[in-house]
Order: sequence, then structure tokens, then C-alpha cells
Amino acid sequence: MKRCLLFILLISLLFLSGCWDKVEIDQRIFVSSIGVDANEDGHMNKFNIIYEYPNINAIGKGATEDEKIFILETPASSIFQAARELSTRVPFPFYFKHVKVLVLGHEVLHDEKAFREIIDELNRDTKINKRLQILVAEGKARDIIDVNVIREQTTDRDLYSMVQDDRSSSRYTFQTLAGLISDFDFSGVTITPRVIIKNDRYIVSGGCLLKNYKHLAWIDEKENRAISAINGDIINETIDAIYDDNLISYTVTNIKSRKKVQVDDQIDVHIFVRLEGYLQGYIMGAEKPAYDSQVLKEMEKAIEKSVKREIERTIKKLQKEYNADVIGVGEHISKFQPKKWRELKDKWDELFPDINIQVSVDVKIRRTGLTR
Amino acid sequence: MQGKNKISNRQIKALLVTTIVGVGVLSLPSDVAIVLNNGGWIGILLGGLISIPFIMVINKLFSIDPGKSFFQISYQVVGRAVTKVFLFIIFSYFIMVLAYTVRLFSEVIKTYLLENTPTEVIILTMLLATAYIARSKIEVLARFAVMIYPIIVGFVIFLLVVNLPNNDFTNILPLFDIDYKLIPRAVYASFFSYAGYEILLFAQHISEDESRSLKYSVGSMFMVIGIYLVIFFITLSRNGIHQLKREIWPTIAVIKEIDLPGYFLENLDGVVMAVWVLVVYATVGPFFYACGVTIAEIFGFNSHKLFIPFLIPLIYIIALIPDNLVTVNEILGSIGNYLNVAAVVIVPIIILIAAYVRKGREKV
Amino acid sequence: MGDLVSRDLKENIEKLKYIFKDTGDIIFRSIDIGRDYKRGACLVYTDGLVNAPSISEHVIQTLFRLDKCDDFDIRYIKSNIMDLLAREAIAIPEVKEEDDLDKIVDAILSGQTALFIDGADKVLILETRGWPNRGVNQPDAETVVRGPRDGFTETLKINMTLIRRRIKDPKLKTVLTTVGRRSKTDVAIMYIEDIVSPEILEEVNKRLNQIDIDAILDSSMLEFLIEDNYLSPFPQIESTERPDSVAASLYEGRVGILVDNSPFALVVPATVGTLTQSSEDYYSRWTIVSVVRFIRLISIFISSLAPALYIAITSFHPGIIPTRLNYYLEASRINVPFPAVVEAFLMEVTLELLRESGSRIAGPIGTTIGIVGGLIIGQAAVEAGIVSPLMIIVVAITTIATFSIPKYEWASGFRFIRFIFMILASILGLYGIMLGAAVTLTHLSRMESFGIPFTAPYSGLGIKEGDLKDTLVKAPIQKFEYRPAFTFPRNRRRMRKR
Repeated sequence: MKRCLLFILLISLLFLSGCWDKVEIDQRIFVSSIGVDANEDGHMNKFNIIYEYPNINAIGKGATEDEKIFILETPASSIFQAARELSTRVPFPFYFKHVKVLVLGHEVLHDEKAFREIIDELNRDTKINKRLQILVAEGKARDIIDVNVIREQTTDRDLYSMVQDDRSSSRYTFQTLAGLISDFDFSGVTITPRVIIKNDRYIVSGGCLLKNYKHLAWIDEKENRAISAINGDIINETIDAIYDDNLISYTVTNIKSRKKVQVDDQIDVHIFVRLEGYLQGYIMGAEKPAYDSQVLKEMEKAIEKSVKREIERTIKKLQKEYNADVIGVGEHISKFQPKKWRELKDKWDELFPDINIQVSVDVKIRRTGLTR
Repeated sequence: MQGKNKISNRQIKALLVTTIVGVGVLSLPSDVAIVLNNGGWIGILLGGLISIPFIMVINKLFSIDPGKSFFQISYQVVGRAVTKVFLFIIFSYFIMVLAYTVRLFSEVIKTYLLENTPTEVIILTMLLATAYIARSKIEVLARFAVMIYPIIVGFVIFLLVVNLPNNDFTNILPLFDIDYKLIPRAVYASFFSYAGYEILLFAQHISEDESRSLKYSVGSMFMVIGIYLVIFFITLSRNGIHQLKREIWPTIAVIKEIDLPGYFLENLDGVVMAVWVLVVYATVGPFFYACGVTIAEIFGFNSHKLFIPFLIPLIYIIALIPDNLVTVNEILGSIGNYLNVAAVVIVPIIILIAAYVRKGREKV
Repeated sequence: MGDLVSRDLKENIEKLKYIFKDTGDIIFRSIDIGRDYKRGACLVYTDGLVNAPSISEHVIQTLFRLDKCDDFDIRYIKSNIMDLLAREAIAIPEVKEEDDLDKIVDAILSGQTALFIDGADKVLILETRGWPNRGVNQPDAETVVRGPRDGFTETLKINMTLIRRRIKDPKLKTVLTTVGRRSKTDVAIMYIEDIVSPEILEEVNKRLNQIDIDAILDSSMLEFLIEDNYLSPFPQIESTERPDSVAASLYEGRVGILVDNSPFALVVPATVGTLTQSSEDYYSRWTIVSVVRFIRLISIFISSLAPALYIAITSFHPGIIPTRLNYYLEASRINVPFPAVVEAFLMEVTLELLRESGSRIAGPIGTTIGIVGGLIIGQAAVEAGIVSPLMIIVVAITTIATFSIPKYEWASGFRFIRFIFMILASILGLYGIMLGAAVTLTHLSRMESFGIPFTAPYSGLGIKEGDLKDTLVKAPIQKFEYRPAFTFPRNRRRMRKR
């Protein structure tokens, strides 16, 4: 009896004082995207932080015709500081476990310290998902998020779905928080997708080359594609080539890439890229029908040439112009030849522009589509 | 029912694995990676292999007089007074481990599940819940362990399957670029993660087939080494060595990144944390039990049930001494480590040597 | 020892009439037997419990006919008259002599007939039990699609027959005892002698002998009296309406306990493994049964955890569900005025109410309650915005899952702890649920059923290779060469492969 009483007391004690973490689901604000812009004359509040969250009343059954998405903006010293600043404007606390996209205004990237602060904050936080997609806005992040609202009437976080789904092309390569950090760790260089605004519509195109937490250069779609090819990241892409004065297009379905690095006095890198795919387009009434092994061989050669040219051009640019090792040569040496890497590590920036890189491309046309 | 009040060797194996795998598994990969970088696996491997001789020592101890409990053997060999001193060392070790484990546990739960719930509440509820299993017989602990065992193994397999397609396994390299001078430090860092096999001291004498239990105990040790190695390599290959060294709990960090194709659950860390509660429960339970049995023996009681409730405040107070997570590891962790060596390594060896000396004398 | 029967018929009858004072259902039928030398006799029996036509035809008529036999002169027969009557006159299959008055009273009350004859110091007890039976019907709780459809009835004799028909082996032992000082309920302990573990049998006997209660009305009362841990929400003894299930258990080396007046037989020891089996599992193909077993495991989790998880997710950890589901959940709850805990309790309590009222009133009205409750109240509650539609789904799935657990008592245990889990979830979220799960698992591990660990065969001692063939998966029957080891059977081999 006494034990029973004690038990009831304990339970009621928990009940009365308990439930520290209980917040009903409808009393939270689920931030879906965060934008960060630089705020030049803000002293301590050097960022302009933008939160985007859905209007729950406008989703689901019996949705109202209100705006689907709310946007809040405030100058703040950090991303989470903004939550405190904004708490005076919203009835409920923010919740960050469903944040999917981080848009960085490119001005932020010019300040290395600020960028490092942002990344550390996100990496340290317990709620932020490490698969957070990172995008760089050519311009202000605020505009990108704003456009998102005007254009799209869904809660599907379409910016996110778009970045996440890179199966449809390789014009940009998605970058997650974890990926970004690990790229910086290994080679100090990384690429994040670039978003721009054109005709009131955002476009994810090409990428932003970052080096040591600092903006380095913008790269266009072709370059991004070439870098993806070197890293073996292409999932679906169509490549054009000139064959017999006709334009042929070739769809890549599978790619494998391999590096061979030789470190002697001179560093020799050999990159093998192997593409597999099918013929997407040729020409009606062609003289040489594609259904012929000889013709296919020649076509493969033509595509090889075009891909190789693209890759070599990109590599040259990376070496000479940007001095950015996004193709992972240094990483490769550090993994497979750790002893040599220890010597090279500190002067890698001087060495990289002059290393000798050779590219071999091997294209296979596996199918020719429905027609001969 | 010839087997009543006995436990099978299979149960011993499960008991050892579930007791050893606990809070250590969350931080172990980064602990060894900080010392040895990519070669951290060798620290894990050696730390486990070094523990095996001590298991053998404990096993040998029981072969002095099969069927007798550890206490009885110790009384026989080194006498009552010395045994009580030994028991006190073991008891304080258990208290330290318990305090360390529950404190760390509460910190992790606070980080990943319940941010605002006070540490005190988490520690107290955990201790109250484990008190229930600690008051049971060792057979009950063994049965419980057998049911938790598949959860641990299943979790590791799940981790492996989910991460295989996404991970960049070249991140593991260079595998053999190891600074050999640092190996002892790495072993030291991993050694405490293998604490828990001392539960054998309280379980082996009622084994169904004592002659074969060594095989199973050593087997369970290899199992744990395997689990730790798999987790180490997965955490390493996920984001590379630099991020691994940066993380406090890399195992959960990996889980946080898992992208389930079916899209049924997101942010798996919460779910895994919840399951991990069971794993820690299965670690704290046996330690708590052993702690109770030891103190009961010191005071000469037959039943340990009475002591368990009185241990709760003691553990609770010690667990709350450190100010923050860093000091938890510095104070409780290192004291626990020293006591671990004293209680699990030195005490059994002394008893064993004493037994051989006595035997030798009797023969002469 | 009570009074002995005297040689004087009148005295005996007076004694009996005193014992049976004011009991209207006891019939005293006096007759005289013999042609020349009449001798008084009296039949005493309980009205309604006896097969009256049988008495009049096989007892009274033959006794009357004795006058017609010339060589049967009652005068010369003295002491062994009972023996003689039993041998030559009374056409009742089972008779016995008795001289203890108390036992005679017990016999009369249990439906036997006592034949007193003047001058004899013994009484002939005639087995004339016969009362209206319900007949062997299909069991209500454990129906099968494929498999035998007979179920136990309230009559012990019939129940024993149903089992005997399945085990035609002299090693099948049926030990009869009575339990209950006043009710004197017949209890049959059934086992196969060369399979059952003697320790279990001894334990059963010991516990049955310890009972000192005035009445046992149903096997469940007996169950609560002999189980190991009466405070637990879980049953530690299996109860079944199906004779085939009992027979199968006996073949596994377990002990069946049949109680008169109860259509439920008890089977010990029960474990987690046996409680999740249904007899139909053995009559269906092994592939689908394996799937069903797995579904049952899931349904155990759902029935105890689903509402608690709902509370934990909506009030504590919305982060663990996918974003789109999260928004949906939020949208569906946006106008609900209560916290999730209150909402869940509201619905669960309503459901228990419906279940209770539905099961008290059987038949068409029960169905009406189901429709009114389930459809109308649910619909109205959602329309009114008191509960979210998802909560209704959760509650409905929980209830369905409860019904898919084959043993009612076992399912009720989970039904009970569901509420505890809900309370825990409302205080500590997922952590609370997992603590509750750990404690529940500990509780199950601590329990024993007649010396056998309750969690067997999942975690027991003495588990041999084959035991897991009949747990989460069920292997084809060809693979069951041995009986399960967790009951420590004396004879393990079940089948020989050819």
C-alpha cells in the first residue's frame, strides 16, 4: 500500500513538473529554408538572415487561399541569433530539424571569417540535418527565396526538390553541408550550385567555386559538367558532337572515372573517363546509318574528342586561372601515397598549376534508340 | 529440468556483448581517430585483443574451484579481509562506471532527444528503470541480454547496408600509415570501451557448461571488436578523417546523414537514439546488478535486492559532479579507467597468482 | 471420516433428509424389492443432474422385476447384496460401493444416484450423471478457416473425450481432483506421461493442492490462483477453447488443466512463444504462416505503442518524420484544441467504452453500437475538430492490431500497458517510451511460468537449434523432428525422417 502510494506520488510529481520538452506540433514553426545575406553596416549584426516557412493553414485539405509561404527577415549576428530576434514577431518557437536548403548570398562568401562562422554554427547544431542543401546566390539570397514564393504554389520546397534531383542533368552538382565540409577538409576547394534570377524565375545553373571558405569564381554549366565527368558524378547528361557534319547527341547513362597519379620529380596525373550511353539524336535520311559498327566507332571517336576537349579546357582553367584542385588530385595522393603527400601538402598550391594532367576518354554507344 | 537456475553459454555471450557495447560506441571512432588518424582501427583492434587475456584470467579463476562463485573462491584463496578490500575496489569501480555511463547517456539524450529536460530527471528515470532489472537474478539479466543482442547486431548490419551505396570508401585510406609510437595511447583510448566483461565474475559460475564458456566469452569479445571496427570504418568513410576527428559522437553523426530511400523516416538520429536507450539499459543493468551484489557481499548479505535502491542516490550524486561534458570524460572517465585496470585486471590476477602459490606450497 | 452408513435404512434416510433439509432438488424414491420377502430400498439423487429415463429403465424397472425371478430370493442374500445387484441386476455402466456418508452426499450432489437397501452396510453409487449440454460448438474466440471446428463445452466429461479422441495413447494420463471447498469443482490434469517433464507436473500438483478457496466458477479463477505472478498484466498460463490446441500442447510436453463448468482449458507452461501461436498456424502452409507470425509481432508493437508514438512524435519529436508528413500532421492538428495527450486519451477511452458496451450487449445491438460509435462518433469528432483525422486512424489501427493477437488475455495485457506508454510518452517523449519498453521487456524476462522462463524460446535456457523454427518463422512440418526443448520434455524426438 505504501509502495503504491509512493509510486503514485512519483508519477504525479513527474506530471506536475514535467513535460519540459513538450511543444505541440501545431505550436512550432518549421523553417524550411534559410537565406543568409551580408549586412554591411550592421556592426555586430553582419548578416541578414531570412527564414522561410510554410503557412500550414494553406496546406492540405480545406486549404485557404492565403499565401503558401511566409518569409521573415532580420539582421542578426548568426543564423540562430536570428531566431531569437524574430521570436518577437511570431507566436511560436522555430524548429530547425526540417530545414532543407541554405541559400548564401555571394557577398557573404567574400568574408572568410563570416563563412566559417556560418558553417561551424550549422555543423555544431544538433537540429540541423547534415544533408542540408547549400546553394550560392549570384546576388542576394533574399531575392531567391522571394522568387520561390511568387513562382511556386506548393509546399514541396521546390528549390530543394530541384537541387536534390540531379538525375535530370549535370548542369549543377548538389552540395550538402557534410559534403562541403569534407571537401574543404580534403582539398580546401569545393563547388556549390549557383542560383541566379532571370525573368522573375530562379535558375540553378553552374556552380560557385569556393576555396578555403572564400568565394573564388563562378563556373558555368559546361565546366560543371566537365568537373562532374572527371569525378564520375554524371548520372544523366546529353552531350553533343559533330560527326560527318551532322550534330549528334549522345545521352550518358553511366560514367566511371579513374585517376592514376605518379609522383616523381614531376607529378603526372592520368585521368580515365569511361562513358556509357545511347544515341539520342542523329539526322533523318543520313548517309551513313547509325546501325553499323563502323559508324558507331567513328561516332564514339567524335564524341570522345568533344568530351576530351571540354575536359581539358576545364582542367586548364582550373589549374592556371583558379588554382583550385576540385578534381581531387591532392586527395588521391593523400589517400594512396600518404608519405609523399606529407611532403607535398604544404606547397600544394604552388604545385597544382604545373602538374601534368592527361585525359583519356572512352565512349561506348550501347544502343541507338528505336531506329537504325 | 536439469538446467534450472543456470545460464547457457550463448546467454553469456549475449550478456557480454550487450554489457560491453554501451555509451562507448558513440564516441570511440573519434577517440581513436584523434590519436591515430586513419589507423585508429588498430587501436580498436589491439584494445580488444588485450582484453582477451584478462577474460582468460577470469576464466582460469573459476577453474580453481568449479561451481563456486567468485566470492567463495576469493575467500578460499586470499582470505576474508583481503577479499573485502578487493570487493571495495571493484565496488567503487562499478559506481564510477555507472556514474560515467548515466551521465554521458543523459548528455546524449539531452543533445538529441530532449533538449530542455533537466539532466537530473534523465539520470534519475534511467536509474529507477534499471533498478528494476538490477534487482533481478542474473538469469533474468541473461535472458534480457539475449533479446537485446539482435538489436545491436541488427543495428550494425543496418548501418552497413544503408551506408554501403553512399559512402566513399576511399576515405578509409591510407590504412597503414600509422605512427607506431602512438599506438599505446590509442589502445588506452579504446580500452575503456571494452569494459564490461567483468560481468563474467558474477555469471560464469552458474554456466550450464563451464568448460566451454571461455570459447563463448572470447567469441563475444571478437564480436564486439567486429562491431566497433565496422562502426569505425563506416564513420570514417562517410565524411573522411577530418570531420571524424571533429565530431564528438561520430556514430550518431553518420546516422543523422542516412538517407532512407523509402522516405518513411527522416532524421534517423531520433529513432536510433530511442533504440540506443535499450542498449544502454542493457549496459547499465548488469553493472548495477554487479554493483549491488558486490556491496551486499561486503556487508555479508545474501540478497542484493535491498541495496539497489540505496545505490541510486550515490550514483546520482557522483554523476552530477562534473560541470560539463568535457569534465565528465576528464574526471569520471579517467578515474573509471584507472579503477577498471585495478578491479578487472589486477584483482583477478592477484587472486589467480595467490591460488597458484598456495597450490604449489601444498604440493611441496 | 464422516459418518458411516448404518444397516438401518430408515436411519440412513433420516440422516440424509436432515443433511438435505430445505433442498428441494433432492429426490428420495422409496421402493420395495423382492417377491415374498419385501425389502425396503431407496434411491437418492439430485433432480436435473441425473439422466432420469436411465434410472427408471435400468434401475427401478430391473429392481421391480426381481420379484419375477424365482431363484433370486432376497431373503437368503445378506451382506453381499450390493455386489450381487451390481453384478446381476443394475444395467448402469459404472457403479461402486461406498459407506462414507459424506462421500455419498458429494456423489449425490454431483449427479450420481445412491441406492440404499435395508440391511446393507454399503450404498451403491450409480453413475447416472446426465444433464442438458450445450453440445460441441465452434469456439467463439479462436475460429479457424482450416482445421477442426469443435470447441470445449462446459462439461468436463465431454472435454476430456475431445482430447482423448486426439491422443489414443495409454500414456495420456487424466488425473481428477476437486478444487473448492463448497463448489467441489472437478479438475482434470492431463499430460502424456513419457513426454512431460516431471518437474512441471510436480509444480502443477503442488500449486493445485495449495488452493483453499470456497468456489471455483471458471478456469480463469483457477488460472489466477496458480499463476506465478498475479500482479502482472500478462497471462502466464495459456487458456484455449480448442481441443486440438490442447492436444498439440500435450504432445509438446506441456500439461493441460480442464475445469468443469468452463469451456476454457488451461495449458502450462505458457511462454511468449506459445502465446503468439494460433492453432491455425499448423494447418496452413508454412510460407504464409511465417509472414503472419511476423505481422503478429508487429501488431504487438502497434497495439502497445502506436498512440504513445503519436504523442511522442507530435508533441516532442516532429523532426523524425518526413517533412511532408510533418506538414500534413501539423495541418491536421491545427484546429484541435487539445494537446496530443488529451486527444489520444479521449479517443482511447472512447474506444474502450465502445468495446465494453459492445461486448456487454451481444448480437444486433452490439453491432449498432459499433456502427454508431465507430462511424458516427469518429466522423463527428473529426468534423467538430475535437480530434485530428490521423488520431482516428491511429486508434483504429491500434484496435485492429489488438484483435490480431491470437490470445485474448495476452492481447489485453498489451491493451493495458498501452495507457502506461501513453503517460510515459507525454512526459518524456520517445525516451519515456523506450524506458517503458525496457522495463516491460525486463518484466517479461523476470516472469516464469511453472519454472520455465516466460520469454522462452526467444531467450531461454536449454534452447536447442530447432526451437527457433517455430517462433517468428514457422518451418515446414518436415523440419520438426524434435519437440521444443524449452519445456524440457523427456522424449524429444517427434518424427523420424524416412
